[in-house]
Amino acid sequence: MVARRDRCGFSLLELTVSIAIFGIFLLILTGLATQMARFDRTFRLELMTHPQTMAVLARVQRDVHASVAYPASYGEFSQNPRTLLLTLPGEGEGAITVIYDFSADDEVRRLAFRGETAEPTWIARGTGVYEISSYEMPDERVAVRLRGRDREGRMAVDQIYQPHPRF
Amino acid sequence: MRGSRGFSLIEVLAGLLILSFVITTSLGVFYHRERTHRRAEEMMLVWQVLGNESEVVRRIPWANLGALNGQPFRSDLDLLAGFDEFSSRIEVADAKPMLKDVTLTLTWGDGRTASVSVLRGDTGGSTLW
Repeated sequence: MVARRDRCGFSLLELTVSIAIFGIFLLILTGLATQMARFDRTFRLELMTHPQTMAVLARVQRDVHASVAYPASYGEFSQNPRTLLLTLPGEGEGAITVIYDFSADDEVRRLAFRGETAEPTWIARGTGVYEISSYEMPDERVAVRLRGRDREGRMAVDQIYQPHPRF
Repeated sequence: MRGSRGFSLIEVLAGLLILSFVITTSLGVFYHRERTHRRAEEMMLVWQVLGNESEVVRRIPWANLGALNGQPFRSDLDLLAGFDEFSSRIEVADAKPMLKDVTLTLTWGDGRTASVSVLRGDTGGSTLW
């Protein structure tokens, strides 16, 4: 014979209500976490800290610093808001022409030609949308202004690079 | 003795206290994270603006550097559009003979600042800085 307990467990109704309340609480927390993740993606920081973006900025900066001229055109390429042409001093076999092709959204191509010979092309993806313009310095020299926008179309990159002075 | 009883007032209050603590902590974490993220973004953009201005300052003739003292930045601040109120200022001080310390500072409405210094030398008119 089973002895009758003084205190019984929770009834099905009580359990259901408790689980429902807990479920609502979990739902709120999950909603918050989702909102947090969505919020993160709206920050321009995401583009700026993307390794490919940083690689593009570093390469453009290094090439502009080393450049000695901005050629108007090379082969099928010409200077325009989505294409940057630079002349870098070469050793022995003449100057190197570097072309940054920003024409495709979220992709940057760096082509290099030593004389007529093409060197390996470097490509970065997931980088945002870039635009090139010239920036006149106080001493009337011309610098390169690189502006990039994220997927939302907001400006996330705005950097001015200028060739380094020569000895 | 009752076979089954409800929760006492103390138990209910303790339960509510724990629940409100958890909710408050969650919301606090959310707020803190958002603020930290926003500040990181601000700094990322501010350093670009400071970098751009320092490039411009490097190209200002030595003789004209003193006139920059107390002036706002010469490069545009489009990148910071949409942020809270902020102002820019250039300060020029003599560091040593033939050396000037140019400090570029951005100040937010709440008093936070970010600054960078550029040391300029008198190169006698050459393009070196």
